[in-house]
Amino acid sequence: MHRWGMVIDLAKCTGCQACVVACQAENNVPSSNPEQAELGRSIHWMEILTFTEHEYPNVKIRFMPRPCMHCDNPPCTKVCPVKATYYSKEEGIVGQVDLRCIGCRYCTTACPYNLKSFNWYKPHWPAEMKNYLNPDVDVRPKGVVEKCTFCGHRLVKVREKAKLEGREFNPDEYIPACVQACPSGVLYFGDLADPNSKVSELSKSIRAFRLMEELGTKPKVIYLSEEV
Amino acid sequence: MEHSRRDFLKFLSSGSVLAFSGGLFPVKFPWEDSFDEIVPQGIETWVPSVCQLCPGGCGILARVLDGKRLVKIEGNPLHPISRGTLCPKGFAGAQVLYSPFRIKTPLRRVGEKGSKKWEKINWDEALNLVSDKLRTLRTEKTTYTTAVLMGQCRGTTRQLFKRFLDAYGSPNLIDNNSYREETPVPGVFLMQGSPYPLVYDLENANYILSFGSNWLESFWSPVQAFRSFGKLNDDKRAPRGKTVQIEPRLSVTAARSNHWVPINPGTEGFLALGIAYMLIKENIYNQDFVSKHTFGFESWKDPSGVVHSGFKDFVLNNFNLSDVSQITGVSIDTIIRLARDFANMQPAIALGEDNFNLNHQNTFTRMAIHSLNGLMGSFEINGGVLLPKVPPLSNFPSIPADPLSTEGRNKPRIDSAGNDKYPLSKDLPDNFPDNILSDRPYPLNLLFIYNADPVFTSPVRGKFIQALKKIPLVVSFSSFMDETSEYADLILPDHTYLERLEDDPTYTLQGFQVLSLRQPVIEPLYQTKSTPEVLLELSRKIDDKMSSAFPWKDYQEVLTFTVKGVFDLGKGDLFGVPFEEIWTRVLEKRGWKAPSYKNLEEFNKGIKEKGGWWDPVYKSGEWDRVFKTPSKKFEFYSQILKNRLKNQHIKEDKYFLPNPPLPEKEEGYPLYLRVFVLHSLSTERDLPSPWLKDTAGFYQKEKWHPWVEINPEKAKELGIVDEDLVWVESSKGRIKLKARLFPGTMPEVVGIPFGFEEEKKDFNPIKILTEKLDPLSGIPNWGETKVKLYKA
Amino acid sequence: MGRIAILVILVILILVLAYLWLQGSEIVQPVQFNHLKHTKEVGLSCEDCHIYFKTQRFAGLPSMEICAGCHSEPQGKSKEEAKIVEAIKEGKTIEWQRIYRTKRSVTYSHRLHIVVGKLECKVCHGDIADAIRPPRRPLVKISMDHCRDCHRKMKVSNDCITCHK
Repeated sequence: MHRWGMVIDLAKCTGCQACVVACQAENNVPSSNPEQAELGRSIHWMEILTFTEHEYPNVKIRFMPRPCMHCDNPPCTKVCPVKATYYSKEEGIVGQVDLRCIGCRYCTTACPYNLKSFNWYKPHWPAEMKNYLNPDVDVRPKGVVEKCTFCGHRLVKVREKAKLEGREFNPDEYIPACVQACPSGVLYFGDLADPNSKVSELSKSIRAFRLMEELGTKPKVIYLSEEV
Repeated sequence: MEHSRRDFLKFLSSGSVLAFSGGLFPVKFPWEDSFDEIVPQGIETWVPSVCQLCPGGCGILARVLDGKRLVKIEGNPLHPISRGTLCPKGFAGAQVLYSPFRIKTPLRRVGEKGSKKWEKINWDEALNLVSDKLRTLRTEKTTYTTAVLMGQCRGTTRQLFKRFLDAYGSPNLIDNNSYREETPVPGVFLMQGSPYPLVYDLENANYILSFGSNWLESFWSPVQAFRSFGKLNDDKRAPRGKTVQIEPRLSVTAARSNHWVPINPGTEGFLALGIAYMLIKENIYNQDFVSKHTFGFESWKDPSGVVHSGFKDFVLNNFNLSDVSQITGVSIDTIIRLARDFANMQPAIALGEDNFNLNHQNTFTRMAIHSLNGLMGSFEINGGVLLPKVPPLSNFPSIPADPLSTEGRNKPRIDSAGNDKYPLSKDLPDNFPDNILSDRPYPLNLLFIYNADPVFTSPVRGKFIQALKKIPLVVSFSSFMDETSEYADLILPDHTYLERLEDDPTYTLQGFQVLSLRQPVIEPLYQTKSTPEVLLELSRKIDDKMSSAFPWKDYQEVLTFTVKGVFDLGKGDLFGVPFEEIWTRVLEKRGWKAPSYKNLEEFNKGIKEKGGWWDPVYKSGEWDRVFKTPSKKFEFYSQILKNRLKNQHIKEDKYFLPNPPLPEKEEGYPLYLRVFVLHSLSTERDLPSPWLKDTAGFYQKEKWHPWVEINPEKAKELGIVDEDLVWVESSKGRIKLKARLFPGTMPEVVGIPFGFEEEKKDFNPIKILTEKLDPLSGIPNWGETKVKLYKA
Repeated sequence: MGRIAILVILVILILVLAYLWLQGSEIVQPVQFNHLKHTKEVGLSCEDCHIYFKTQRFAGLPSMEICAGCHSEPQGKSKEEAKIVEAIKEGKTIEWQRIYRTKRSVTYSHRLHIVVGKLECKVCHGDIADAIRPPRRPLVKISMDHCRDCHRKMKVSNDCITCHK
């Protein structure tokens, strides 16, 4: 039993977008175009939210990387009529099987973090660009919902590697693409079920908070505030 | 054929089912819009190489399937610069490689210049066209009428370009890179005299005082800057490092700094000197360093008995806090606090702008900022200012004697670099078109353009276009149809950096030398050719003299030759070999070395496998090397400038001290234009990546298109509401943009991002930037344009 | 009455069409390859031609180099073999069609199932080794229930994430 979780240290984030683009490159997220972007239909599994506070000259912009919260009590899975989105009891990951999805978008409405994206169009890649699609991740068709999976395929891959090498799987091997990409070390990833892991330790930090905890969603993405 | 339950539901719900008979199955329904392709699997390999989408020099690992499909780029964990991470541009390399906008074969212009009509030709034909021209110029003894305009390019390729022009007989290698490896920032050069750029050890500093240096968005090595920021703010570090951003608008750097100090545009130098005033007045500067390692601090009497005013008196007499506060708009309290923090939180760095092509500071402003580093002695220490060495490539053998090429080489440069008008200039790309248009000092016959796109990046783009139209033969090596290549006569497309073999010598922010190898991760996709190979081929086609200067079979052979210089150094090691820096230093001092390779063969093999070599040792305290001024010290009073201006007989001392000019006002244009660069787009060329365009303006929630930022109060005054279309007009022209109200803009300032490009949409802000060049260095100043704004 | 009859016919028609559609199409190989001949008479093992199933996630359809190992010259008089010999001579590639495919969002690793799970090829591919001509449909129809049953028996995780990518 694992409870994979992420800790995001907001004090270190530079808003550089490395996590955002690394995620798109890893997960075959269709690239947007000006028209879709205008309609707010660009798909980002990982996104950097910004909050502009106060007036000139005391303005402050805050950056907040936002992956899926992978709630322990996810509202989205409960509304799915076809079990396309599910809570993995073994890994603690909230997954999404696009093959099952019927595109009803109940889950996008149920998610309080507004992080699920609907494929409004057939995903499009110019012929050449199809070369860079990742075979480890499905290409979602038009009409289904998609979201961050904590790069679940990477977990499957490292587990497979451990099995082939005849050894125990080491939790440190499993890192989602965004965590691997971050140049300033904002993102930490690990097993919250293990009390000795780095993420467990950080989750007890005085700076730690979770988004919309009051809804009882029990998110496994934990933020560390900028200031103590 | 496979079906999902979704397909089935669609199928059942449709009335047209009856229209199909069983024999037609499976049918691709017209409304069937799913992406049925399964991405094919393949045998995975990881190829180490180096990114080239900015000068940062990040080591990458390319995930390649079946040796022919690049699936993803990741950071090389063994590489000392990227350390397993990358910036968004690094990842977008896949979209650059597979861009549908790549040039696939050599092209020859058919219509008028700039008419975008091309015909495909083969390489032999293309190379003959160029070599015929080169040969004709040789016989006419006008070899010097050839020039190369070069963007980002270093190491062996750069040496090869130089050698090509040297052997051919032309002095005209014009550097148009925003981070010039072989040129220091002019203001810094005047005080330190070193011919190479500095690095700032950001991650080990305790206090970073940045004067408009947008180091989290347009730094030369972004990944190192981001990592430094992370380290400054790490929990392990108590207290955290502090960063202050002094800038007229709230850039991302300002937003992420502990403190943002809005300042009247163009007055950063005054603030720096106000801080210097406080440091001197309160006696909290580093007196030990100043007395040992600086020149021109105290006033002095020269041998002829003339008394010269030193920096101290100059500052105390001219930059009292109330004056500085009035000019800069920064309160006296703030200046005092900045000065005290700067002195107390050592090591501290005063950071000015390092970019040439997107620079907002004139030479004296930059001097004023750098004088703070001199006052606090932030040199040659951890967390301070360092002068790195570049990995030493072997020197090429000398060029066979040839009177024709010697004569050509000694002609004046076509861009007039180093002339009396711009005595500090080493390259003058932005003066180049003026010279071409007036045939000064001679008409140009042939221009090669490599990795540069001045029509996109230079404020004198209009003149560039005319100049390109005038030059009889313009050859571009671009892999993409960029704006400059549109005016070429011939395009000899280069591979992208992911298909090319090259070395990439650079250094880390700690001053460690790094030599990485850029190797092809897949076979070239199209009929493109590596430009250094083209140079070798051309040299063989021109004549015997030329070909004897290039005795190598191919570029690989050249590379093996030059990289041997690093092997011969006998220091450092391949990436990934555990390195205890202190222990290594101890060993090296005792004359020991134990690299992981035994001979040249193993060295070359190791570089290919690990991605490169580095030497994680910085030998500090080589003052003669760091301060190459006449006094061998840090010069508050620049004797270099005095020497360069000898002919102008300037008597006043203040001209050689950091003495920034007051920003000029312009009648009818009340607002300052601040053009800034977003990280995702900070490059000298338009990057054809949807990923980047879709994330660039994230904090404004603007995608794909630029906008103009206005202070909300100012907007109210002008009657503009959010998302209105407005004209931004300077004396040079006007562009139409979407207005965004942004409280992070000073009321007298409007901000426009640079780097978006779309055909027929005139929104590139360089179109309205002033064409005036900085008087000493000849660098365009992006901060000097005044505009007005009105509703469209 | 008539209305109900029409409705019934419609429903039946829809069900029949749906059945046919779900059946999928037949796959025709460019060469009528005889598996039995290669396995029994020549004594080749599966791995000799499908070279990747122990080392990669995929099994791999044979490349022309593998065929050319024996068939650069004709070994017999078969018309089908002649197609291969000709293709080798002309440097053409024979596009073998995949018959066994998992659904789009399913990830399946041959090496994991064969090397660690000790699964026999037969379990999913049926008696393909004894086939004298290429089958036009999969010999074994694999459904998610198949996977889940076996996973349950072998005490392997049946969590969605294990197989769905």
